[in-house]
Amino acid sequence: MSNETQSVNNEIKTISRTPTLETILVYAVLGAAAFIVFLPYVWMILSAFKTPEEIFRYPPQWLPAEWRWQNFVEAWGKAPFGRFFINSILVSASIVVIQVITSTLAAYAFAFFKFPGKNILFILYLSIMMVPTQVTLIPNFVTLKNLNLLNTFGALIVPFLASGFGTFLIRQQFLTIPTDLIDAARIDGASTPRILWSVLVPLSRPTLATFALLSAMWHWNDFFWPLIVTSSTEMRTMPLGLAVFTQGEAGTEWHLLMAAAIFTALPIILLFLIAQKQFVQGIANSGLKG
Amino acid sequence: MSVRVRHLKEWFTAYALLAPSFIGLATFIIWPMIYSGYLSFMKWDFLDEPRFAGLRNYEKLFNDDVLHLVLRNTAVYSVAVVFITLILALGLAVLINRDLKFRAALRAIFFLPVVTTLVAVSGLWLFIYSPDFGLMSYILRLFGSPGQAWLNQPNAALWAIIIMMIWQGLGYDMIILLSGLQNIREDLYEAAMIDGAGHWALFWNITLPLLSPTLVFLLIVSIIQAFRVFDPVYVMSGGTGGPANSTATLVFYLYKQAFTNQDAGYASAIAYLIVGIAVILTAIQLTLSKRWVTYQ
Repeated sequence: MSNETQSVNNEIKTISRTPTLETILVYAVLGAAAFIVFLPYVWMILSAFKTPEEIFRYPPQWLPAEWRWQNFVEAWGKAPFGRFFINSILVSASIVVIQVITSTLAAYAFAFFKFPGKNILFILYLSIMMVPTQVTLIPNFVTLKNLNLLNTFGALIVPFLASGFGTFLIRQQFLTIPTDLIDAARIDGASTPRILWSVLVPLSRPTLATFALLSAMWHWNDFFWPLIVTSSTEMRTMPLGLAVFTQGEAGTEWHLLMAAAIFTALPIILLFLIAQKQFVQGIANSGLKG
Repeated sequence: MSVRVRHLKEWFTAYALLAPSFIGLATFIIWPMIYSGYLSFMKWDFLDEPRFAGLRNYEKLFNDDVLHLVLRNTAVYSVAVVFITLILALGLAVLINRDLKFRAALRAIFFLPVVTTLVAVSGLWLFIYSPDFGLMSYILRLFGSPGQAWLNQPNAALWAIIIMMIWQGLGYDMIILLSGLQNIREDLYEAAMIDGAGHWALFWNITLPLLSPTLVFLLIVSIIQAFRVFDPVYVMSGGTGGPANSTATLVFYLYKQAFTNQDAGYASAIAYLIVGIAVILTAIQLTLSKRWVTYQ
């Protein structure tokens, strides 16, 4: 917070000493950059509402003559997107819930308990964040095959039961909570689970929410893992369904492909627009990419 | 309760709290790391018993011409995406780090591609790059240059993906750089301005040196990330890595070796090559951050 106040003060100073010409230039450059970044989205949205004839017109007609909402219905029906959507919701929601629970428990141990091997275990959890997922690819595929889990929800969820990143993020938050508070609760006779649930979790809601959002985004958007462990159409998730749709006959039906791209990406984009601050702070603080 | 019993109780509780995540990490990250190492010395098609292959898989790393092309593609892709994105993002972050109207909206727009499903982004750009009806050929034709099937040309396809991924990653770098910029103390600028320093002098002598920890961090995280690129290659090349392997990257090649050629041993050796590269890059980061980085 103090950072923000400071930067606001900085900005006020900046503006008072800035000549107008410079401000105009800054606006012009940023405006042009934002236009370039946003243009593909405009193109995608407008195309999703066009007829095929309008798509194939040159020079392009920017606005559709009629906004065809039925494109979305048609695209949704071209592949079993209803099923993919349910799969994606189920898989990412399960992973988020399980990861928040396992990471919170582990973070509790690392933040407030003394036990042999604590440092080594913590370093292990940290270094796990650095392991490229590709190294684990073949063994995990084999493990799931041996467990007879390939092409099931188990294969999509089980490898992601724990998160080194989540453990680290939540531990950092727990460490900001004064130990006096925990000791007081303990003296009052609160049990270990009770302290976690009634003291730590309520004080850490923003961090838990940030981690849940990032985890939801990574697992909703994940393409690589579902590609490897699913083989039947009914087990596909949204990104995988969209990728297959892209390569199928629909590949040249750009208006339908754009509509499908929109409804694949929309849930996370909406989540981002609603909880922008959590997303941005979570990524800025952790510095972690998907 | 004796002190000893209390200790034991605390230990037991801690291990119980760690158990769920530890079992998950041990089964799906730690054990696979070890098992991958074992497999890299084996010949295995996922079906029969693995047979010992000695160093053959690692020898193949040196003799496989396609792998060398793939390494080159990956290096070109990573260096281009990482450096161009970083430079553009630095410019944007410096510009946006002031009291602007629409600042929040601008930041949201730049960040939007970061949260957009990469497969959807790839689908969108597939259309943008469409030679006859795509946005890119339309814009280029306005400047008198004809549209082309970039994704079908071995010397253009990788760059088409690079441009898309710069667009995609810009907002991420910008957000991290912005938080770095906001940690630079304003009195440093004020002192320098009293000494008569201009805008460029401020940027070169204060902003850039004090931003160096953030820049080095971003550089390494982004390169490690870029080395793992897969989704856009898969979607934009129609699952082929083509034309003529010109867009195949390391992870894509690993995937092909494992699941198309059923060569689990060689794929595991490639996986260890990726680990090796990641370790070297991290070591470089540690050295660089000691030597180059200026702290306030």
